Amino acid sequence: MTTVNDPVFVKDLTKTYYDESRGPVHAVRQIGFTCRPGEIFGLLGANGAGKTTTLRMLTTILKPSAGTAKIMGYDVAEEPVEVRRHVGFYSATTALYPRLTARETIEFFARINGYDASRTPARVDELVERFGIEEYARARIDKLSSGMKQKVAIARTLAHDPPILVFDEPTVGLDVLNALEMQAILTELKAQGKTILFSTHIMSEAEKLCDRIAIIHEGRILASGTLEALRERTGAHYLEDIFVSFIQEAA
Amino acid sequence: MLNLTDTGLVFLRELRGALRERSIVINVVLVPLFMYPVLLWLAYTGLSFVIGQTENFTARVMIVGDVGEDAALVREIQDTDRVELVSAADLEAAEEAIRDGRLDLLVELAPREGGDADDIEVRITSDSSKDRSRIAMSRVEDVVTRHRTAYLERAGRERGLAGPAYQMIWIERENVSSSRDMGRFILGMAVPILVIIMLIVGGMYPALDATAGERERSTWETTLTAATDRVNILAGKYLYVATLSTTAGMLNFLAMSLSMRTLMAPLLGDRIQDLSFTIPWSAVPLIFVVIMLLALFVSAFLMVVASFARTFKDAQSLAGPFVTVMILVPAVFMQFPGLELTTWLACVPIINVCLVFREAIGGVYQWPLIGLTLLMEVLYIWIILRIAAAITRYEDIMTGSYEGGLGGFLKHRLLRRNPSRG
Ligand SMILES: Nc1ncnc2c1ncn2[C@@H]1O[C@H](COP(=O)(O)OP(=O)(O)O)[C@@H](O)[C@H]1O
Ligand SMILES: [Mg+2]
Repeated sequence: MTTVNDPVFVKDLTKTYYDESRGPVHAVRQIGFTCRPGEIFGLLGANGAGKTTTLRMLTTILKPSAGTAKIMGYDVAEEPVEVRRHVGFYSATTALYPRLTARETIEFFARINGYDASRTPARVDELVERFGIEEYARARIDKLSSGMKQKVAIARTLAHDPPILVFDEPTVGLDVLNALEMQAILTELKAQGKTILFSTHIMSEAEKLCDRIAIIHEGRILASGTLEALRERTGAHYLEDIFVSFIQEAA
Repeated sequence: MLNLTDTGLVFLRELRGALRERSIVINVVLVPLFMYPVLLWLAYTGLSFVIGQTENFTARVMIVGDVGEDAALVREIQDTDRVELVSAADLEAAEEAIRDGRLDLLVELAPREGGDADDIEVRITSDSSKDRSRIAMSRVEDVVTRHRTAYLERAGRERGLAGPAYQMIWIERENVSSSRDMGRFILGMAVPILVIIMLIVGGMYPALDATAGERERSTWETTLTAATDRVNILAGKYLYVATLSTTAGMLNFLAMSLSMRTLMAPLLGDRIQDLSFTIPWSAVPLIFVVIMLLALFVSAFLMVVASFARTFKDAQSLAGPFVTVMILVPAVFMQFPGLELTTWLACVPIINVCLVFREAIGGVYQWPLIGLTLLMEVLYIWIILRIAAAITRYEDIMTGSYEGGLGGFLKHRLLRRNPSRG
């Protein structure tokens, strides 16, 4: 049932870094998966498994060494600008411009990502209201607390109202309440019909949010499918046990 | 390929942020407007100090010989300003002292053999390889000449020769530079160098901030998620850096054209009366073009260098040597007042534009060479921008994991055309 027309289509995607001291680093090896319209797809893996590298290739920040990936039918290597128009990318490493205000940041990304200029002010108002950042929307971002910055960062990701959202470990470093809030936002976006691809190393989070999960380990995808399907294949109930059993199988 | 709307968006975003950064505003506006008098003053006093060292010293002169007849000449030498009489053990010791620089001049006076009673022979020993010795020589020569003229006048009067009838040659010294040219000459030396310094001061912070600074703040990745061709991001940033650099240069130039005379007055004292510090209005358009080209060159260069740095501080130390060269080389070249624009010099980046700048201030326009200069400078800028564009295609440089530096990049990637690693 995987088709090129799925919002996210990944086939044999590979990334090899060349590190001056370590030599070639095979961060991602021939992975493949698809995300279907309107689902939350989770990339589950430990630190160094290759999650960030995968998501960066899908958002065209990095070029794949081999293989293909398509976002809404656009090839990440051949039509990167179209891909970026259709994706919002959120990660702890995509920092905000410290000297701009929240409004200016949202406006900039709406405009440069191709959102209609005449509708941009309304879009900015909408996001400012949704994330409750009215009070500090006109303050320089470097004056904001980290909680406020995080809200602005999500609003920035959504600025051009993209159909696909990619979140790289969105809850990492957040306290429980903020993490719950982040999860609520993902659920809300899904309800709006967005396709969401997110990475995490937290089992409970994947278990709770994802329609389908891919387990990634040392650059390879060991298994993917719904939680039910993974349970059936391993006979384990908890995702933690499922995860471990796939890793042991691979070893 | 280049999308002007997107380029404009990036440009405005950078500019808006920059105007909120105090250090950028200071470097772009305040330093060019108010800092240059300090630099100028330092340069001028430094220069006067060096000149003063050689010109205002007291010459050590030793006089020997039978001077009974002509004690008047000895007194005159002794009374000369900035001359002091010293003594040495003997003639040989004196000559050695001159060679060693302990003595500046040796004057030997002797009656002339077979001459009249009051004839006198003056033998002066100096070391012409030493500035002090040469200057001492000319001071003493002046005294001797004056003494002789006075004697001739007296003797002429005694023999009934009236006035200057015995003179054969009159020498009048005149500086052929008109006062206007002299002022322009000072302007032509100082102004281009100061403008370059200010262009660099104004462009440096933005250039490093927009490249290495973005990497340091982890906003590069954010910028790379923008749905536009990377060329537009580069163009927007470049336009921003060049605009601030140009602004700094123009402000500095305007400030200098308006206030140079007033500023130089206390330094030059009476001499200011003879100098004109006007820049011809007709030169202003060409000078603006020159300032813009210099800013475009400096901005592109600094951005390329800073692309290889991971932090602002790294970028500063990387750029340091290049900046020094970009200031020092033209500063040294501008020292030669006789240096004129030639076909060859028109091909040397920065120097060529500085020479056009200086000649424009002096009201000299060699249009074919000016055309060549502008063309060459545009060519150099284009080459640097091509390198900058090539850099953006290497993701390990963009993400800051490249170890090679600018030299390594040029050698291993740009010239060998290795396939992109990534
Ligand atoms: N720029 C890079 N250069 C070299 N190796 C890298 C680079 N980025 C990541 N890696 C390596 O690639 C592997 C996967 O990293 P990453 O994709 O960040 O994993 P994850 O996000 O799952 O923690 C790790 O071994 C990491 O050290
Ligand atoms: Mg990661």
